[in-house]
Amino acid sequence: MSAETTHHDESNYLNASSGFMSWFWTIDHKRLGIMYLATILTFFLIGGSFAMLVRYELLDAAPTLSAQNYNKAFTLHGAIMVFLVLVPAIPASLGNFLIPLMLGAKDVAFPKLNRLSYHIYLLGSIFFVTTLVLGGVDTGWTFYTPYSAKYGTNVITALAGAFILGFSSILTGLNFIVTIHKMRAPGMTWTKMPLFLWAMYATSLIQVLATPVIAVTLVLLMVEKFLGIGIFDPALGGDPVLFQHFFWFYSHPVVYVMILPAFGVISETVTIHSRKHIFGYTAIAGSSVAIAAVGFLVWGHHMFLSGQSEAMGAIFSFITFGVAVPTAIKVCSWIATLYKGNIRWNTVMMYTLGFLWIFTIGGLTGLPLATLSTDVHLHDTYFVVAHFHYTMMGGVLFALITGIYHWWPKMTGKMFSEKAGIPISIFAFVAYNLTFIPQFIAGHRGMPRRYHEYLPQFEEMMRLSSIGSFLFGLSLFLVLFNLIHSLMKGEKASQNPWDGLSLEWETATPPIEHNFHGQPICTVGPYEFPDINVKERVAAK
Amino acid sequence: MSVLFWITTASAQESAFYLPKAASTLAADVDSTFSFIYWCCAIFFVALMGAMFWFVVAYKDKGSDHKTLDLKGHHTLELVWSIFPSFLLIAMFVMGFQGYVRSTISPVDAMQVNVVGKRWDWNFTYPTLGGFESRDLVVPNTEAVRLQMVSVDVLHSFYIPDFRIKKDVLPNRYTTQWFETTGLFEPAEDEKFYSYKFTFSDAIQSEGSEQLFHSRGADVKNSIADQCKKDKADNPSLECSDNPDNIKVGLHQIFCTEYCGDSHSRMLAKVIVLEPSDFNLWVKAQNNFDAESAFAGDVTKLGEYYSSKGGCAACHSIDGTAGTGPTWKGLYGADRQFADGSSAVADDNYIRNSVIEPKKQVVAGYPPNMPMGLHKTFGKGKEEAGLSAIIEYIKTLK
Repeated sequence: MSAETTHHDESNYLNASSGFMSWFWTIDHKRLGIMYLATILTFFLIGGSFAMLVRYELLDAAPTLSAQNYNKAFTLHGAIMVFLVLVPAIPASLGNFLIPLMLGAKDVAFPKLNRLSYHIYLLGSIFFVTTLVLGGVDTGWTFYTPYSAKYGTNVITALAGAFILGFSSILTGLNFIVTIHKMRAPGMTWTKMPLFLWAMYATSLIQVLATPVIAVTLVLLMVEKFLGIGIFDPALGGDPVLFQHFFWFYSHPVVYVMILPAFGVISETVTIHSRKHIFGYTAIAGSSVAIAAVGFLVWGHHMFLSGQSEAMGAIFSFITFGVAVPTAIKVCSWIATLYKGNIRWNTVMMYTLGFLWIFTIGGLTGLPLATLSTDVHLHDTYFVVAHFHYTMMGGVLFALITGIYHWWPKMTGKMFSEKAGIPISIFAFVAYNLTFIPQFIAGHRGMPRRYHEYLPQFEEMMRLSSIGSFLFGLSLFLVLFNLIHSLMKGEKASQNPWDGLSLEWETATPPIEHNFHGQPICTVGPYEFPDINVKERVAAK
Repeated sequence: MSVLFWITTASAQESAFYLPKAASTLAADVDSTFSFIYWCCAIFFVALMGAMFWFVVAYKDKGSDHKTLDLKGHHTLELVWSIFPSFLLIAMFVMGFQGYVRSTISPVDAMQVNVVGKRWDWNFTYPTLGGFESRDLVVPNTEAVRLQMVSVDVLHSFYIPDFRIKKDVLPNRYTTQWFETTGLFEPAEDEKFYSYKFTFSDAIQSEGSEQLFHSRGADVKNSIADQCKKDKADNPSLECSDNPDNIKVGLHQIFCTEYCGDSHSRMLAKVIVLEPSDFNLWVKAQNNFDAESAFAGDVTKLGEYYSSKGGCAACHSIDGTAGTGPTWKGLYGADRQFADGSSAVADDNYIRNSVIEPKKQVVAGYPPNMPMGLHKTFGKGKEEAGLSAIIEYIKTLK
């Protein structure tokens, strides 16, 4: 720490060079992280606008938009949010920025590959959005055949877009795996790594292993289309359910690509802002890897009613319950971490608590969906919509905002307004729940999803949900204003405003271009805060 | 555990807020499993969030020199919260699995109804009762019914919330589902049951939507009452009601829950549950039904009947709104511009050709989605009669 403070006059990664190309062609993981964040937030704004359009349509039982436009709107919302926003949300932005810093490294293992994956992401996302808009894709983000192959919408180009994006994801994952294996600072054993790195490691493994499946699917679709070999099309003797197997074999593990990094962020913030050692380090780290592994074996729970065999349904149901155990361990451990801490009531902690509430609801409502007989009733209703928004969207978004606030001083060198941040966080939390709790109720009362107009008995809940979503949209703009205000008028941040111990706090704020002057050495674990009363040690037995 | 079961049963009674009415033998089973999981979740949620808020308030920041507890883990506690929930999870799995087995294996003596899903309507045929078709799923109360389902185009999913059943309908093979109703759930005064562009006599256009219709089974009641009258003429001692108002029906909504295109949200139909004696009369009426004599002298009704039977109304409106296909309003005698640049006047031959070979002349601005040879759906030997009835019907739509 002392070595760094003497250099406070020198340039940092933000002002070391300037001009468009100095950003666009950079190999600095920090600049790439910031560019990812900006790009992802731009797509979030686009995907979010389509969500607002969808909720506007659903204010009344009777339609306002045409069915075609509504169907395109929810497809664009879902596809943009999943492929362009949620998958890269935390890994590509915070992950890129933080992994080398936390490891005490000067960059990722392959900086040029890292730049390439950003450019592929940019290219892929432009291609993907263009093909969705020009192709008039209205299939929903799942592109189920035979509908997607039959009715003018082009599933091949849409999946080609997902495939290009997948490449970016694979390269990033590969880069992170190598970086975490080979570039840890001296003294940083696997069990001294911050849990964020464990989460990123598990995430990267899934990215590398699951993403190629989307390429296989694409090849099979092309073989069918151009060679006329029946694979998915029943008219040629294919089986449309096979497409669902392929799709979910990729897309289910991808759900964990979204949520595991969120777990990583929360593991950091819940400790630093309560001044406590994480409860059950090994259990949390191990459960990340366990979730990643078991996550490959549960894709069939999306297909209980698809006509797959009943025996397979039973096996998938059982394994799915297996994912619930490591997830429960994590939530219990985070809450136990708060016990007898010295908890800061700041913006970061508010979003952390918001995440715990939202993710707990998301996780628990997964249980009636994993249970075969109740899933029969709830499948493809708004209950499912609410469930996956609580996990994928609420969980990931609240964790992303938590992470952005937590590392904002490090990224920008500016502090933000807690006075505005805390009320906004409470507003966002209330609005979020107002949006999705009514959807649970509409769902178990039997309202199907992807309905452009609906029966009058669901109007009450749908309207509440729409009002909630507009308020939630507003609250996110307030978050943005708070952050912009911080950029313009925020106080200068100190090197280590939260008194963290992980290595990213050991360098200047904002970090210098090559992160550290010398090779930092990891001496204490990331959670062994000086505030902890070591005399009062409770034996881990 | 026993406390949980107690709460479960107590809450099942007042579950109306959470779940739709329970009208099949499978529903009670699903509902008790749902309630069990629901209360497990509620208890865990309150415990977890209670602890969280308690800690956050009790251990609020007491200044930077305040010391915190040195606690890195607690093996016993960790084992407890790993193992105890596992037992509950296994209980949920077993309950769900047993319920699923019950909902999957249909009784051998179940009455079979064939279900065909077609963008965007449902069609029901009764192969063991004479092979007639119906636009609503009409079933006898407290008798097992087995649905054998197939799609003619894309994936659909057949969902009856009140029965807690749902199953995907595939284009390449049959899927099956069974149920048995537990009573006649007469709807409340303000309850509505919808079908898509259902143009029969009792269909009332809904206020909200231009193309959804709600009805309460009046056509089924009428046909039972008529059949009863006829049968009573032969056998005066027969016990049945010839007044449609006295016939009781139970009504339930059917949804499509697998996205299937533009009008996915309108792919609705209803279940009409009848007392077994009424059901038999209805079956008899269906087998004796002859459209020409039923609608003798009323060409509008006859054309309406065939256009409903052929599913025409799913794409062609009669009120001027553009659907997947062009509207029928003002069609007869109008100039048609085709996608290939040619044009023609819509006369009798044009309409006839458009039904038999729709892809030859596709109106500009519409997708070539209409299947070939829909006149065959009018029934064997009824093709010509149906075509001319529809042409006459379109002439009346000015």
